[in-house]
Amino acid sequence: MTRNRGTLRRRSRLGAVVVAAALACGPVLAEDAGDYCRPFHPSITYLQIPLPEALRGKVVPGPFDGVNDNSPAMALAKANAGPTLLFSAAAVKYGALSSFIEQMALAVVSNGDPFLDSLRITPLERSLQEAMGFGAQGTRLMEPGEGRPDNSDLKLELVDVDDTGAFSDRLGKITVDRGLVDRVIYGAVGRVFGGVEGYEAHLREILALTDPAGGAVPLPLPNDIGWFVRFSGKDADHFPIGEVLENAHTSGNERNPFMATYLLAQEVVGELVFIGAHEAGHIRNSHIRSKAISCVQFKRQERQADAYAAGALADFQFNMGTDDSTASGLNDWSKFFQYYHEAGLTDVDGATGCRYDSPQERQERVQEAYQVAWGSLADVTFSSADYTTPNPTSSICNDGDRHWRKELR
Amino acid sequence: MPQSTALSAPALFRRKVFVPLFFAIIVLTCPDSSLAEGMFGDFPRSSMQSPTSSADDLARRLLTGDLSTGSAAGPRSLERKAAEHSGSCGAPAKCLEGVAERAKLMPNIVFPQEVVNPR
Repeated sequence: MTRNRGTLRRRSRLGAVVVAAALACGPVLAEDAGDYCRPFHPSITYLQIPLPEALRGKVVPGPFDGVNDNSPAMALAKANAGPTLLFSAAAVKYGALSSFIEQMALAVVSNGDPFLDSLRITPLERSLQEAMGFGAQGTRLMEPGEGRPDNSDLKLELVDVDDTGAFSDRLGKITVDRGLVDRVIYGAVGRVFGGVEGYEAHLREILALTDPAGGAVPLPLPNDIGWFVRFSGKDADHFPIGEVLENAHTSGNERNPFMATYLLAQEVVGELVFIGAHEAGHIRNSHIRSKAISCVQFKRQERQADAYAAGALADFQFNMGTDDSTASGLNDWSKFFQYYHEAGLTDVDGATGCRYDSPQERQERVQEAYQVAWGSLADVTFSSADYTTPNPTSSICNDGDRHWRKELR
Repeated sequence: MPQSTALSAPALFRRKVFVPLFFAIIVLTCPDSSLAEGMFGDFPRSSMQSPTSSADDLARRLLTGDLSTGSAAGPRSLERKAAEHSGSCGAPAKCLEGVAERAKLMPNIVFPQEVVNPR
């Protein structure tokens, strides 16, 4: 009996040691998502650029010049546009050049060029945070979804090495090698502009905009784009670059530099969002990567992270283009797999020596999980009795209620 | 009477077993601080060159037109580097060719062209 009590005591002490040791490992990220509502955004239109003081005074109320149309469609257009604000050409140029899309590209390709350097105002790490949606307003990739935390606790850091990796740690930090960003940007600049020279020409197109003497549209923009550029502001302190880009993209008019900006964003963000979502998946699944990990465990972890990414990207896609899954916008994550090797990524993990599934296998698996997740969101959303379209500012909450046509919480 | 330095059995057990066991469990159970995709060793902190301009400075230069014209195309090495990473779409015009077609597939046109372009 005495010996049994001693054994129990020792076992309880052992248990205490184990618990204490586990606690000593440090905090583990909470999975609790808390209350949230998921806003719905029509594509990239959420993106707004705060204007410096010097440019705010150049934004004045103005008429809808050149549009003599009293049709219901125009009434809707005016209602969507909000106050009729006239942005000067300087404000338009600033709004275009200071977005994370152009600033990220400028940071990578400027390389001491005086012209390109003169347009840089944002550190690359900050632009990357905005593009990937961690730690800053950005692509909204990390908006909370069904059962997912909002990821506001995750941080992103850029390290100045030529390597082409992306990493995550258990404290919620995602680390991206500068070499990977370089490859993604140079690849995108090559595909969209044919190289740095073409990119410079694109920037000069933006800088060539001037205020016309008698009209309302900055020249030499086409009228349909210029009209939107000048009047689409919701408030005088912010330039609505997102709406301008979206309109440029959907109008199909090639004679404007904003379409090229949108294409650049598609190329760059399409790759980066998958990388970010995958790393977030490692963190949320509390993956442990030690040198002693088996390749079976390695593969299981990679597939879990990919599955998490598929769900997060389905949320993102759904938010960006609720009414149509083909409205891929900035979420063409297949670019990650398409340019897998071009971006310097390899099939073998450097630390463990374990082999990833091939990019093709991964893409197929992600595509399947993505479609299941998107279909689930669509089922829930479109089966709601009070769902009506068009309605880009609805929200859906994780408390089981769906709120349509209401203010976001 | 000199005090004995010998440890009692429980104290000896704590020192010889519990303490090493505590640290052994920490080592064995704590995950490596560097996880996914294997980040081992110390990387240097980011040392990318910061922009020399501020938002206010750029705004002022846009208002006055005081912008550096710089070189026409930048260092040649940039072109080579971009070419190395370029994909199948080699020229801007070619890259933009498919955009109009793609745009037709986008259902969420904010302002239809016939509405915003009265010409």
